[in-house]
Amino acid sequence: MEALVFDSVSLKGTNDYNALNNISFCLEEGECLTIIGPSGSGKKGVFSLIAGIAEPDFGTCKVFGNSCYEDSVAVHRMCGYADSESQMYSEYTLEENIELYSSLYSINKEAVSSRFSLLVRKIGLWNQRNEQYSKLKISERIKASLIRAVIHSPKLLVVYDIFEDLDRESIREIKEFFDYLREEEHVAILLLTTITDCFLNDSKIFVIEGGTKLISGYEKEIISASGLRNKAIIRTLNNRLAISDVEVIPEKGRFIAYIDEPEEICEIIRKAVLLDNNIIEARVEEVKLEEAYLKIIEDNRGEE
Amino acid sequence: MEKNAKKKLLGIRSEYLAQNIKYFWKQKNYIAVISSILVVFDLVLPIIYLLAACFYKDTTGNVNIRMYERYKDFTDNQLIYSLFISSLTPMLLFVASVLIGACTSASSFITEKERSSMQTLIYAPISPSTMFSVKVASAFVNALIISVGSALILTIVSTVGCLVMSVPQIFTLSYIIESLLIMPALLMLSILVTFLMNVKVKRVMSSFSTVGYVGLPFILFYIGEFTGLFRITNAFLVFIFIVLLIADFSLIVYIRRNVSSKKLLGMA
Repeated sequence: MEALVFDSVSLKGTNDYNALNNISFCLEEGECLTIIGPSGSGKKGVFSLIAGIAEPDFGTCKVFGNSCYEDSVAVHRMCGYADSESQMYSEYTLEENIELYSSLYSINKEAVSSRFSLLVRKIGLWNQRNEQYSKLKISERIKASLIRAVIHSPKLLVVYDIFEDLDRESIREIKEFFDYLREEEHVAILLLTTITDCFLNDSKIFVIEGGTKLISGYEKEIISASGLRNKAIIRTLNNRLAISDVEVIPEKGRFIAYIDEPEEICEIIRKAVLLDNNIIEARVEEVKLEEAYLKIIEDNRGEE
Repeated sequence: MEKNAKKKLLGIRSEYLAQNIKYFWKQKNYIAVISSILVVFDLVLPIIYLLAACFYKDTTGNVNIRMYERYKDFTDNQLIYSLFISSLTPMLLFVASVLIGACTSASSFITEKERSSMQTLIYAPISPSTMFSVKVASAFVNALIISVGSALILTIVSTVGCLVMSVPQIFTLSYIIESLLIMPALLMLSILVTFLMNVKVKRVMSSFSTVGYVGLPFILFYIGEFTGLFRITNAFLVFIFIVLLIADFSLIVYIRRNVSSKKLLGMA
């Protein structure tokens, strides 16, 4: 079932979010979609539409068949929202805050208490559960906002810009938490981010800039569409390399061959060895998503 | 099911309303501001006026001009204190109420925006109009608790003053109308106006400037009476109460119809 559908959505920009032009995407139940775009690309507009804060000027935006703006109460029951801006009550502890927010969802206290215990363990906040919110670190506050977002067991989690101020360890913990939500609770996850290394495995990616979709697909498709290719880097003892059927480019005492799959380097090595090349180093430099993403953004700006 | 329905108030669980009411009392900055208001309006000003009335000595003879029949047998000091009781005490009560209403309203709406905790509430499965109602209800309950306390302190201090000065007690019909009818209606008006005038305001300090719109007419009324310009009768007080009630009701209906997530967040 479709958890989230954006169908030809356009939105006028305001001081609080940028405009969107004819955006369409779909997120199935249990799937993950990462919308990546630089600051001001329209991610907050997407988030505001799903949260029912903004109304689309054109097109429809639906969560499990419910209009995000007109049926916002029903949508909020099925959705969890986490962002870096929203805060909890600083005078309360994490547990007290969660209790307070749970009272908005008609969940009984026992259920809240057991789910809270489960979630704080999963996300690594067990020791901070009775800590006053004002004393939590930024990374802990972000984790707390995730707990708050999923305390009512939503079917869709929408996460906006939470990774910017996080260290690698916190990003890893949060990604594991997302994996748990997807695998155990079948939660569909929409990540809106500027950071490319926070997307989840097998997540679909949607690159956005200036409110317009640039490209969408899985990681490999994005990399392939960027035109960047993996490099097989080979160094030989005598700085000479001759391989049949493979184009190698000499560069600063090493040889580079462009390959599509990292495994192709094995074939290059085999051919090189057969022709008596003395290989002293062979490695693959894979194109990272970030490079591909930056190239796509750069190309788009160049075209404009 | 029925039990669950009973727990609901204004469309959501009363538990959240109770949490909201309780949260106000955890905010030390508001408690400090309200305590200062109570000390100034309920203790400092009435005591200063009592002392002034006790130690006043007329050198001009102007005070001997008796404005009303009921004051004709009073001494100058008693007259001054009686004027305080009839005109300034209700004014202090109302000004304190307006400030208290503004404080609780700011705590319910503007502080939430200032601390970015309103966003978190917007993501909950509650319509903006229900969220507004709950916030207003919690602000009103807190304001009423404080105002009743404030009125009690002011009444006690004024009663002590009446005993000291040997003037008639404060418990007149007009004071009862003022404290039991007008004060709650005024609190609600102060809460609603503070919300309405500060839809785009995201800083608490900026919001207090709007308090004057509600408080000023009352200050002018009682200054008018104090200076002998006109006399506020019981019928006029009842009329004010009805006007306030209509204003409150109209504002609630208007805001509930027009409130949106954007407005609660200060974006529109």
